[in-house]
Amino acid sequence: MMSETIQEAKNGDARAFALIVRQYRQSVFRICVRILGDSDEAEDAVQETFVRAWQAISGYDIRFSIATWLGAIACRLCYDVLRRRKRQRRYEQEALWHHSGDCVRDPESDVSGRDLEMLFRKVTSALAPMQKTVFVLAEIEGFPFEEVRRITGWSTVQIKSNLYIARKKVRKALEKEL
Amino acid sequence: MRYDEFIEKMRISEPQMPHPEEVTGRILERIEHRSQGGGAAVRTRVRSSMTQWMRIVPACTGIAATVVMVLSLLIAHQDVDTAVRADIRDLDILSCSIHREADTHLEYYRKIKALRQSCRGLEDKAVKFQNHENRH
Repeated sequence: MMSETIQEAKNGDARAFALIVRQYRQSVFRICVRILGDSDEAEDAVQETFVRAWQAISGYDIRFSIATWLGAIACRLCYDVLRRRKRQRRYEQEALWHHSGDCVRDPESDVSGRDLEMLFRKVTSALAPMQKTVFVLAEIEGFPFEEVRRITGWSTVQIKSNLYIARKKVRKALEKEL
Repeated sequence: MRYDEFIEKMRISEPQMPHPEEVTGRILERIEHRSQGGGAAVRTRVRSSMTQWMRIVPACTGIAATVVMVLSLLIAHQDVDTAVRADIRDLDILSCSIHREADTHLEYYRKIKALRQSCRGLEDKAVKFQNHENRH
């Protein structure tokens, strides 16, 4: 069903592409918001991801998962945003407290979901862009290394070493917070 | 909360988009706007060929410039080489003649010195002989 829709979108059918947008916008948003830590920026990244996907859909190889392909576009976009970001840590911390409650709705408890997301932003705020990207993809989203390699375009050694450092930093920050 | 517990909770939690329909609307609007005048596939192909040309032209210019630079350097090097060879050739001839002249002078000096020594010896002998004659 979805493969037919993708094929139609590849042939230039915008309505078929709209179905893909509706199907995958949430998963793309999840990656973006966790890498960027800001729901407004994440929404912009989602928008840009799908526009770029539409531009490049003729080159999409149908044998691979479209979720991975969209994740790769989103991830590279977010990574560029992180690198461009020249904010000071203090400002980030302030923004973190201001924007923390606007995007998370935990199925069980809204308040605990917010707290959890806020805690996540705090403990990952010290991570470098590469570390954060790898951490979100491999540890939170649960992508296997091969998939992370395909999404980011980085080597397995780079992914493993960055993930190791990120885990160490997050563990330390978590101990400090709790 | 332990690290594993925290990660597990993060995996379960699902952050929701604040304005999903608004974002979808904006995406579709941009797509529709771009779709006017051809489908995605056609447009992308044109774009990619343009991008290819945009890459090929500076690459060719760069290669041509490099070739010209290397050739000019080679020619300049060859010119310098030729000039230096000519200088060396001249130098060789000059230095040979100088050496030859010096050798000749040295030879002449040695001969004169030998002749003077033999003359002095003969003079000494003559003086001795004269003295001997005078005594007797």
